[in-house]
Amino acid sequence: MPELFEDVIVRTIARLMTPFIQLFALYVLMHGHATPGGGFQAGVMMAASFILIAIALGLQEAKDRVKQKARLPLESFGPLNFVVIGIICMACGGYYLQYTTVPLLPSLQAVGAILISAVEVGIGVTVMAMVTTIFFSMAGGKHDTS
Amino acid sequence: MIEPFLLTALLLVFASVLCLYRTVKGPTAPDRIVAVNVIATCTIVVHVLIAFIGNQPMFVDIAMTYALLNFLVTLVAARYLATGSVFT
Repeated sequence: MPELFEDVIVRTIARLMTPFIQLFALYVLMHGHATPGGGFQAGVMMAASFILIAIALGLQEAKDRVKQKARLPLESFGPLNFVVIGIICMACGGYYLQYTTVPLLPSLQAVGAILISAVEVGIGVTVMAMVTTIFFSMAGGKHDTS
Repeated sequence: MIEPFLLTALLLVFASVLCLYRTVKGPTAPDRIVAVNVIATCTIVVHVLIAFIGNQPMFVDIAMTYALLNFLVTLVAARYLATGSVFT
């Protein structure tokens, strides 16, 4: 097994760019209703930042940053969030995911924007955890549970 | 009189087509990697020019996504060429 690719430029650039990629992913997530993007795209970009860490700083470093203990609940969080918000809308007297029936705020558009953003956050978190898990599974290595 | 920004975008598209020839024909793998990288850079600039010409700021977001994620592509391809596998 050869040594890890020790390159100062690659490691430094990767460490510098990771927070910016994650910040831009959060921007795409929160502006998904007005601009192209949304939950899935933001989740993929967030996963790409972890893939960048895994490429540049080593696979074990990335596995330490997003542990499986945190990934597994986050994978289930998105669908659960989706179903809970849909059923809340039904409990308030509307159809499934009919946001405007929820008496959260007097403005109907504000309620819709808040609940759509909540659903998008759930989707983004789920996609991030799922893509990261798929990448770690495909990256091989030992079949440990880290 | 053609607009200068539109002319720049068209020239960059033409440059991308030239790089596509190198990507298909390129004798070695590093040629292809550099050509794909140049196509990506041209795409980013064309996106920003389209955002300026059409007055649609959302194209800048797409250009930023390209810019942030293409570094990853080049890194993975170069690592694969240098060591024979992506992970050690």
